[in-house]
Amino acid sequence: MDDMRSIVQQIEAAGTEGAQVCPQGGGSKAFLRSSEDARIVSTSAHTGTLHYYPDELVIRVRAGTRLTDLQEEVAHQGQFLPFDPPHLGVESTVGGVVAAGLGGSARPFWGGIRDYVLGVKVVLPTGQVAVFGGDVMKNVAGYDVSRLMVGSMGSLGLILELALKVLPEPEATRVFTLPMSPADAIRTIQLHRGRPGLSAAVFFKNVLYLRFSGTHQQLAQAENRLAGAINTDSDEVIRKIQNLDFPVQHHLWRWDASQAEPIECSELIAFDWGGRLRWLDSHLAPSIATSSGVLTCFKPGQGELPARSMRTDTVGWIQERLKFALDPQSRFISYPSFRVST
Amino acid sequence: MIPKAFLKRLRNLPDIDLIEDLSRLKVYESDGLTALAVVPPAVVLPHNRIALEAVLSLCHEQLVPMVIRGAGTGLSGGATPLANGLLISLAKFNRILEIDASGFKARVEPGVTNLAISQAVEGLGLFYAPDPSSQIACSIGGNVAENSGGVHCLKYGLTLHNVCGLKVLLADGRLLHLDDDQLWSDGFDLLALLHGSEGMLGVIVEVTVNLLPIPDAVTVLMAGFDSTEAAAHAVSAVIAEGVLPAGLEMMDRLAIQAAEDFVAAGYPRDADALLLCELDGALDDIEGMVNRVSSVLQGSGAKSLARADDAASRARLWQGRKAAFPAVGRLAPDYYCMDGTIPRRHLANVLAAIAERSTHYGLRVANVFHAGDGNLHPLILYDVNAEGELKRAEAFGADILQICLAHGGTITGEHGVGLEKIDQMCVQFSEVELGVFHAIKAAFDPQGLLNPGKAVPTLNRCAEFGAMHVHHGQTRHPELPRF
Repeated sequence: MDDMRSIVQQIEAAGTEGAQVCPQGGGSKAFLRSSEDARIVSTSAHTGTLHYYPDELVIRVRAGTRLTDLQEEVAHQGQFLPFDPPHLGVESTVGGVVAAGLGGSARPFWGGIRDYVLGVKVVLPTGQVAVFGGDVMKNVAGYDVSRLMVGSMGSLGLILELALKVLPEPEATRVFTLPMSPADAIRTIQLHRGRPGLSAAVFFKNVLYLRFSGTHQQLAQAENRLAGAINTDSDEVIRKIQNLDFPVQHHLWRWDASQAEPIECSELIAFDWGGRLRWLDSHLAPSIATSSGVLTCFKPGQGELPARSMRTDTVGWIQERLKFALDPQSRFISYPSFRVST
Repeated sequence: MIPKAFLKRLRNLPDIDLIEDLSRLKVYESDGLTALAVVPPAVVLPHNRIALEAVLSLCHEQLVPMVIRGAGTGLSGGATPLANGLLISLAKFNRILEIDASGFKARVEPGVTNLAISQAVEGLGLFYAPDPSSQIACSIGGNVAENSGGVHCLKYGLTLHNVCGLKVLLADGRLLHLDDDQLWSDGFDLLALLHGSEGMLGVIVEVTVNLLPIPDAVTVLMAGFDSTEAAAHAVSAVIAEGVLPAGLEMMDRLAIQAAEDFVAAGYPRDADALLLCELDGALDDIEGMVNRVSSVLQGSGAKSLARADDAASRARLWQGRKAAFPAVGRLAPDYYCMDGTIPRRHLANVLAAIAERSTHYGLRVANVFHAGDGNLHPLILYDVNAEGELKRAEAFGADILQICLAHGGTITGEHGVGLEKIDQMCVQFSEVELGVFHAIKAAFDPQGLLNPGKAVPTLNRCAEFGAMHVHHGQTRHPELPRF
């Protein structure tokens, strides 16, 4: 259903009334917002596929389309979304997924959302509608605003439509289960890096899960190399970690660091992305994570929140200037404060 | 054209080469778009980052515009000098700083050539995937600035997909470090934004690229077809089969003949269209892929089918394609290379429309096509010394871009806008969209010192140009006065 007119009207009305706009899809990632008194403008009624050409590997959908519906539609054609994002709720929409820019477990192997976004149609903070990119793989006309929208958290505009690149589905998937310590897990992942078909390396409760997705021959090779390891065709545990479907006592912290960074600490619940994304459960900022990388209090739990702020380096400086350049009157919400100073 | 006081201070900076005499300045008068030439008032080659920072801060202080130049192989005039600005060449930034084989990364300076990266890591069994045809000469900094493609984009992506970190100096000398250690970080994707920004947002001083394992096996299939329609259909059928070729290239009759005359690659002279399909993967997988694709090509009406497995015979088949530009260049004194992208389903219509324009202008055109990803390179043949032919070739080129837009495509797939396609930007984008581009530029470079006048047209320029064009039945930029 085309709900663009109503969406634009709501944004214009908010502008007239001086209310700040917060774009929202299904609301499954609302915890990512810094608490602000903003007016929600929902895209959830703006749904449907505009066109899908499987043999051109391109699909264009309205932003309110549910992620599950999109994945089902491309699966019917033997294709898939290689960025395979986390499902943080059944109501999760494509627009919300792109605006949040969160990668799934395949991120280090097949790329992130930004690698598969070809074009966007957006409502700018002024209420004007603009189109960037297109339906083609190669397109270098103008700055890459389509990809700038990925992970912009609704702060630069409301995404109305997306053109995405899809790929043929792998023939088969196998998950190998390897009980070991976190440090051994990192060493094992290093051994398998660059091997054809590796599509996830996730650690949870002293077990390393290696997922291979590819041709039958590639999986047979993986089975030879990992002889003796239990393997299954279900990646349920990997999906649970990817979808943050595990119990957390305090706040959920994410620590993005290089693979070489030591990983053993009592707060560690799980790691993903072959060790580059670590999930920690802690009331206070985990001390081990203060040495390097980026530490964010990602999903607040019960209790007092640590003080969070914007980044203050040159990247943060440019970011603020970009936000001001595109939304000088702060009609849309600001980018959330994630960072905990270390 | 540059303040004398500025030049005097520039001459005193340490660790730079400064060129001021006309004969040596002439070398820099154009990039790969030779039709546009401007002799720059001065060219500076900083020896190192500190020297470059000093040059930038002097330009910033004195408000002298700058054009940054890599290898100068760009095809859209992105590095065309300014009559009133300084040309800064990064040719001396040519060191590979670090190769991290276990991390599959290499950190390099911007002046390193594209091919030099793959050569440096070949012994480790690795390669850098994007391979623009000019890879022997073009620099990685320029590749980032243009978001360069090549013949292997379908499977391996553009420069954007293969670069994981950048260091960029802003116009005011600030260093922007986009870290390669994190796959996610709070904030906007500035790494993506800088790709294809055509030297307008910052000066790239360091690039970290992703490396890939060299595939175990590679096979090239060559198929001849009776018509470009049949070849285009075959491309769709290959992808519908669920195979993702490393490269999938098409050439039309004129391009086939020219290439065959030039390098004798063994192309079928009787074919109206030729497909080159490169498949790569594990040894165990390749034969299955080759069989599947071969039967799809035959089922799609291929009149001839050949395969090349060893490096030498593969290189021979590719040589005709890679030499297509100079080969076509032998058919006429001059040629003009276009670069539009279209949704592939419209290929037959677009080629028919180009053929019609070819007759209209009385200029021949050869088509070379990155068929897998819809990127079309029509080569317009002309003679610059024949009265009015350059003007006709340019008008023909502009028509081709409009044809691409009318079919839902874009005016540039991989060569960039530069100066060449700046007027067509007014057709592809509305004033609102152009306003967003100007806002982004202002956020990075408020004084507009980096590469002014390129890539994004002013609204006034569009008003002047737009008066000639009616888009979707509406006059563009109605808010501006017209001539």
